[in-house]
Amino acid sequence: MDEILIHKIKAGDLDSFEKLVSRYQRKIFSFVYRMLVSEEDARDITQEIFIQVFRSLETFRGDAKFSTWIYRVASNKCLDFLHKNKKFRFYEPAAGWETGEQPAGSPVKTDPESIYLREEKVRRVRRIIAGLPDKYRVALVLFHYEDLTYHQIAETLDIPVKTVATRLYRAKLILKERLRGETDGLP
Amino acid sequence: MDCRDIKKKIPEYLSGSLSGAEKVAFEAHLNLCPSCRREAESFRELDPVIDAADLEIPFADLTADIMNAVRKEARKEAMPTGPVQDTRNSRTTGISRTRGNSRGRIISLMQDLSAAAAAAIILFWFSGTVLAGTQVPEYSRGVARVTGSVGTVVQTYIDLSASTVNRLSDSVKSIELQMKGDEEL
Ligand SMILES: [Zn+2]
Repeated sequence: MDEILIHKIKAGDLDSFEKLVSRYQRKIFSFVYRMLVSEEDARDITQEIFIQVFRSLETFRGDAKFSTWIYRVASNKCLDFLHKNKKFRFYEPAAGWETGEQPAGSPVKTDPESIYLREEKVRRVRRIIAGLPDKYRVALVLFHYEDLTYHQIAETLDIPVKTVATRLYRAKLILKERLRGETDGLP
Repeated sequence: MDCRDIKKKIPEYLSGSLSGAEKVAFEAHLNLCPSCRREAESFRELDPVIDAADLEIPFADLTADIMNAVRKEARKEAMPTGPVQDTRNSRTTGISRTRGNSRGRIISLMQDLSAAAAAAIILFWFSGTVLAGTQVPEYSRGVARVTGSVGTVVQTYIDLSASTVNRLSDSVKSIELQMKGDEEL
């Protein structure tokens, strides 16, 4: 389906590109928002990603799936942006942080204290995730929130599958230790 | 396999990428060893915790904005010999808030680098004493007062080059870290 659109876009059909944009913009915006935790930045970067996709679609050969390829463009843009804006980035909660979804599963206690504790834990986990090294965080976001497989993440980030496993493991290691209250991270 | 080997294999086990024989050995060890079992379990238990911490995504339909920018980009491509001014205009209006494209970033890095080179040359000439502000080399004492403003220029070059060096060493550091990190496990 994407392949047909891409074929038409390469022949100069902008309406086909519009279809591609409307098919992927929500997905890419969500991913970028999860990475940048800023709506304004996420809008800007999403737009840059699609312009980049438009510019370099000529070089897309179809040996990877388009969905993987666009995630690759998006990951690079996000990591690039985060790297350049490092000094401005502190782990302060941004807008979306305060409204935690209830964790699914297990019977939900509804007394105020349980609700407070649950929300407090969600906030802590979010803060820890936001503070992870970017390369661990991008793997975590792609796996847990974008539902990519290890193989798709490996292709997206251009790293071996084993490294994907290692990065996800390390992300969890840090999360586990910081949740336990040890804030110094890895030994 | 002892406990150390087993713990090293947890990420691969969790990702389902252990080979048949390795997986059998891994699970056999887990059945006998509560410590490794707890360790592997504790990582699995984090999955729902991470899932629950997903952010609420604000609503955004960027299709129209993106297409506006892309149509401008397409017109620009259709007129490769168009005036430079035109190109820049369409770029600034195309993206709602320009941050400078990659080409611009490269150019600015080049400028920093040339500034760094200039600073290096000037520093070489002044043997670093201007920087310290304590002593002016003999041969330049006569022009020291006149070159007060040159000092500022040098300082600017130095600031620029320092930021360039920091930026470069930052990226080198992150590459080093990445290489180290990936090979540990
Ligand atoms: Zn053991």
